[in-house]
Amino acid sequence: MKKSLSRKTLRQGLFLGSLICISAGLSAGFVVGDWGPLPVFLLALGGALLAIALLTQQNTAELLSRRSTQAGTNAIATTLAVLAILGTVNFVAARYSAKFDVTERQLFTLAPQTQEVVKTLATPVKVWVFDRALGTGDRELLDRYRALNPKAFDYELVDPVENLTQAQAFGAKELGAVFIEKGERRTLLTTLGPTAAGLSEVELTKALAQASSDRTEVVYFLQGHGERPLEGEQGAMATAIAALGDRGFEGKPLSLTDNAQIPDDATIIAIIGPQRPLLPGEVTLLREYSDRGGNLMILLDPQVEPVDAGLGALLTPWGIQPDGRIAIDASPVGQLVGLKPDTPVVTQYGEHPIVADFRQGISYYPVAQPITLTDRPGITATRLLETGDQSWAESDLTASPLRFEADRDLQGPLTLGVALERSPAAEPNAVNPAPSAPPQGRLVAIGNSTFVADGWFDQQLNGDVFLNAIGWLGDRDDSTLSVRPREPENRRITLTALQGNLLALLALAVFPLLGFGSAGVIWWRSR
Amino acid sequence: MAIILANITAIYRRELQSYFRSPLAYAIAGAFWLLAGFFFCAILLGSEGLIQQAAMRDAQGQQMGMPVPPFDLVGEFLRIFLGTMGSLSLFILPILSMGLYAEERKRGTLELLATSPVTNWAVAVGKLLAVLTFYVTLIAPLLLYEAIAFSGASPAVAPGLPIAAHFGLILLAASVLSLGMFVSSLTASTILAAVMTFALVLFLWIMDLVASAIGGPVGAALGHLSLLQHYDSLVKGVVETKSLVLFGSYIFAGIFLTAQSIETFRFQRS
Repeated sequence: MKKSLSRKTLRQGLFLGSLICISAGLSAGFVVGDWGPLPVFLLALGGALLAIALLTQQNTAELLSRRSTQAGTNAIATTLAVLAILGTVNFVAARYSAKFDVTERQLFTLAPQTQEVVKTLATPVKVWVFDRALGTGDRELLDRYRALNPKAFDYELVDPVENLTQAQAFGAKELGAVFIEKGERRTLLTTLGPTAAGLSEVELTKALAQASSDRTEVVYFLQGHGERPLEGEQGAMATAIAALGDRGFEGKPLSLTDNAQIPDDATIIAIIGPQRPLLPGEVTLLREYSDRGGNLMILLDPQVEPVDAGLGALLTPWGIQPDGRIAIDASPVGQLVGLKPDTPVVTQYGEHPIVADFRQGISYYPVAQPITLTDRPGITATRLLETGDQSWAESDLTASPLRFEADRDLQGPLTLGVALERSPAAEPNAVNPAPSAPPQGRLVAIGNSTFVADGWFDQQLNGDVFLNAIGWLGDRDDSTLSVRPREPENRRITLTALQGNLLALLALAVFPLLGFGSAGVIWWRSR
Repeated sequence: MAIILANITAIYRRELQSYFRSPLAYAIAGAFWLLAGFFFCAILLGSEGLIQQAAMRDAQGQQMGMPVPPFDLVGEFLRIFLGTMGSLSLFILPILSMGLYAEERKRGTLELLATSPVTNWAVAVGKLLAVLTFYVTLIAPLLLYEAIAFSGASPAVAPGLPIAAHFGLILLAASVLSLGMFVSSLTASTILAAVMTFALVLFLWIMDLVASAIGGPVGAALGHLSLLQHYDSLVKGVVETKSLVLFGSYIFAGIFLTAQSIETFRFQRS
């Protein structure tokens, strides 16, 4: 009796000891976060003690030969085998999973252009997000990109607080900065934040397509007529130039009075807010450049003499004429954002790659004029920026109060910006036989230049309008720009009062009572 | 083969009949319908509900002169409502599965079942199908409510998303019930079975939080096991084969483990 008692206490002691060792080992491992020698040793010791305790049972031999033990061991072995098989099957299934997006508008599938861009990435691209955590939507989007081409696309979340040196190496200035790294080149894509919309497929694909092309395009900014300077004093567009640099465009000043020749490497020529008219010789040079297939961005402020800053000979063949009257916006949206009526707010955008992903975003243009558009053969024109219904072009700013006068003013909605493209096939005076790649020539004209100035460029979508326009002007192949964002179907439910009441009645009264009632009836019957 | 099917059918019918004769089953049904009905009305029809929200947004947009971003009321409703139903089911399903084997063990009929010529896994499949049918009966009125509500939808509802979403709910229920059946076969106490099943399911539900804490390849593997992640993606409308395989694995594992546990029981002395 005594012997078996002490043996029993010994075994109990062993059990307890093994339990203590195992739990100590587990907690040491988890707390430290590193399964070093100590936790492993504790676990091994605990396991050994447990084994000894189990095996030194008095009737071990008897136990081992019992059918229940054999059946039990059999069961455990089979179970482990089946679990291993299930584990393997799931592992394979996770690697080679097919996806079926059954939403109506394919909301969770990447666009075909995105798929093509990612699958044909020549050199590996890595997206770095410098933030504390990555939102589920953004993470899912990046996961989908990676699933398309795991060898060439990868992304990483870096906590800038913990990895300060890495953040500095990239030049990340604020939380939420997203960089694209391609080989040696690192460009800032966007900044995520609580107010920002999150990563968009359109933005990411465009940036990936751009990162793939290594050449730097040059944009020449005309100078000499009071245009916005590229840097320095008030009214400059230094922020815009820096943003162009991030996108692979180099901004350089161009003076046609010094050197009466358009440089050969001019991908785009931009005329930003001239205050004085251009010389006829300059206009001729620009017109020839445009006819050769050059691309132009023309931002014209109102209150300039003459209205078109002397560019009439250039603009008329395209069918453009600046109006001269100031656009006034009386809708409540502007007041909500803190703007005066002379700064029209645009929330309606045309069907064009430049504004494709703007949806109902806001851009505004302080002291702008509408652009009049006339149809011309061979020119494809798209109205980019339109003001709302409660706007008009005012001819007399001194009138008080400002009101629409039908005889002098132009009724809204007003077109503030247009994008034009010369269709290659319809050149009427093509003397030479059809060339292999007919020059297209593009032009973007907007009735305001203040929106790209420092302080205005970063507001809402202003910067995006400028950058996307430059991107479209410089892009030979705009297939990536035509990526459209996925939007759900706009669906509403309208129920009559009868239907609503019926639903409430059914859901809250009929079925619950049916359930409880039947329970009561059956219980009563079986008493 | 035909014998096995006949066996399964026999077990299935027996279980189903016992549900329809049990006052507890009706009481659970009544409670579930009350809660689900309450959520349905609150989410869709209530003053904070989706229909009100959409109407307010539209009115605001008209006032401002700004077009409102597109909003799919049906899609949003399905996501929120079925998400709530998933969480609600986590509480209900352990109660449904707790008695599957524990009752038999308590009443002493488990020995009969274990030693009968009907194979263990056939019994398990029959019981699982029966309790799953009962769950589908619980869900059926909700489908009726949705049918009434969606009849007033414009433009009309595309069938793909609702089918995928409800299919996800059924798969989730089948997985939980299968695991619950296994837990029930381990003990004679129904309450213990319910509590342990609930704990197990809760653990699997929040597995993605645990996985993100661990990190690395182990964390990724654990995260894949999470029921919540796969259920959410099905309810959104993304049907992935890996999700289907995972749910299928849970169902199969539950049935298999139950069969093993009964097999072991056969040779045990209590």
